[in-house]
Amino acid sequence: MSARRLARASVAAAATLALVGCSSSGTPTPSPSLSLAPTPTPSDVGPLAPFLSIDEDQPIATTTAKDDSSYSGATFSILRLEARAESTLLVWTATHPRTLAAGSDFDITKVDNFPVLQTKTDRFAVLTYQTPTGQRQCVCSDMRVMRAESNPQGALYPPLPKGTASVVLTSPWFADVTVRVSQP
Amino acid sequence: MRITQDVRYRKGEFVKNLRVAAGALATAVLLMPAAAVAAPAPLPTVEGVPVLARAWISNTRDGGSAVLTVHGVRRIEGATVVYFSMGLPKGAPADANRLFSYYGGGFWNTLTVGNSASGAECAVSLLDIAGGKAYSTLPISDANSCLGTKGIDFSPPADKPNAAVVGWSIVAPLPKDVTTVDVFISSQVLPDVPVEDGLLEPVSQDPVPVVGTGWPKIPTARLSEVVDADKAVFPLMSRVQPIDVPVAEAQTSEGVQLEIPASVLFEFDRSDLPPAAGEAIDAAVAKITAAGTSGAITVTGYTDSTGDDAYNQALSERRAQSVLAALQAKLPGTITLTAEGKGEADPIADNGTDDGRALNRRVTITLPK
Repeated sequence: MSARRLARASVAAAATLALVGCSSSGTPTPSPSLSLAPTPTPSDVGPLAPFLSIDEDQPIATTTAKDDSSYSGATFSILRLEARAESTLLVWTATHPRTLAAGSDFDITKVDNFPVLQTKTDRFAVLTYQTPTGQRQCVCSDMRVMRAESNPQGALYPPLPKGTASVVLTSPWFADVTVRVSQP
Repeated sequence: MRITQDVRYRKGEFVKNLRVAAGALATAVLLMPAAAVAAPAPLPTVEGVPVLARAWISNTRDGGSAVLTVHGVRRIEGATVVYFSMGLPKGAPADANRLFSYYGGGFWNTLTVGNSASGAECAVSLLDIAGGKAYSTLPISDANSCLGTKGIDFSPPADKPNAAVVGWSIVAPLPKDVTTVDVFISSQVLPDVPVEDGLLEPVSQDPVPVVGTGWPKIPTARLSEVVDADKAVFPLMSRVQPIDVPVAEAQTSEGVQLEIPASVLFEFDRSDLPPAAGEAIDAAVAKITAAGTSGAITVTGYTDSTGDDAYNQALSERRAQSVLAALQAKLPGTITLTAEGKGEADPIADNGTDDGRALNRRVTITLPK
């Protein structure tokens, strides 16, 4: 065990002991400048806490990179497309048989390259914001590395019209793909 | 299976009826046969531990996966504290790399306050979509840092190899009326997380405690090191482009903005409106009228970055003035219009590509709130 882990184990043990011995009179004193939340009594959920046992999202649609894209050879999988009152949540992932450094097609400043949700009447672009230096970037992640393993990414779009059942996801990176919209 | 989709792009730029047959795309587009959309799994109940949202995240260095859980978005004086944990999913090797900075696929440049050295832990942000703003980690006097768990090895104690450990970040204060936010962390967006008051208790002595053994001590005294807190708040903008109508509608913090590409209004390097621009002008008038607009409207011209600054500035001003004149002739006198040119300022797309430059050459019409 490394010194750091040993130290951490000791601290954790001490904290656990302190918690075991904690009664109502032992509740930490709140700082006067802060309003404090009701104090839950934590239990040592320890190994394999229930919230770690979740199923990985499975693809609801898949497409492949265009040959002239710097992501050529990659597979894009759509994991979720969720309609919400104020926005639309896209969760997607890209994999590549070999580890691929950042493609030149995208970083968060190349907003116009990011996938667009297209209905029969409208094209919905990813939400953007302006940085203090005047750059426009998107509420999305820049894909720095692609690997054989899945790397889920979230991005937000404007809300879709109520009842939209599916959209076409379009991008310079990959062939158009139709994706069903879930309505939570 | 055949999929037929009619897509018409805006007139004046190009018109394209695209009939897409699945057969033609079969090699490129694969619809999963069982593409039913599963509902997200319900959040588990863990006694004494709030579990507000969860997501799978991935490590860009070795491809390993982890489960990121948000335990609290807590309002304190002058800031918001985000508590989260990361743990290896069931079945993962206990020695898998957990360095938090490597999770999230490059998220570290998104919604930060421009500090180049910030890792994923500095790029936690809270999205208030209804309010149109994103709240990011507060910048401190050390320009390359933020207030949060950073660079810490998230390895759990040796006797609990699969336990989750807790980290935190201090984010800009949320307005009082914001009760839920979307948490953007490690490349994932975790929606609808409730905002609550006060720090989580009890506090652990361990800087990265195992979930269930208390919560990290938040150094609230260090809030005095925060500089330029307003720079950690980013107005969001949404953009919807009708396919048949050459006028896009954008929601910005300043209100609704109509956007017309210069290519549907003007010939190259010209500022007089040809007859072909009439459709776009009529579409803009229809949108302005449908919005029940009254008061002052601003018409703004933009160019791309090609060419001389002064020339672009003058061209953008002339183009804005032309659009103003055309709109004025068709709008009621209760609406007043002002024209301005911004040259190549405020690009909405990459000036390094043809498509990006085309998007940047535009005229916007800002309606009053």
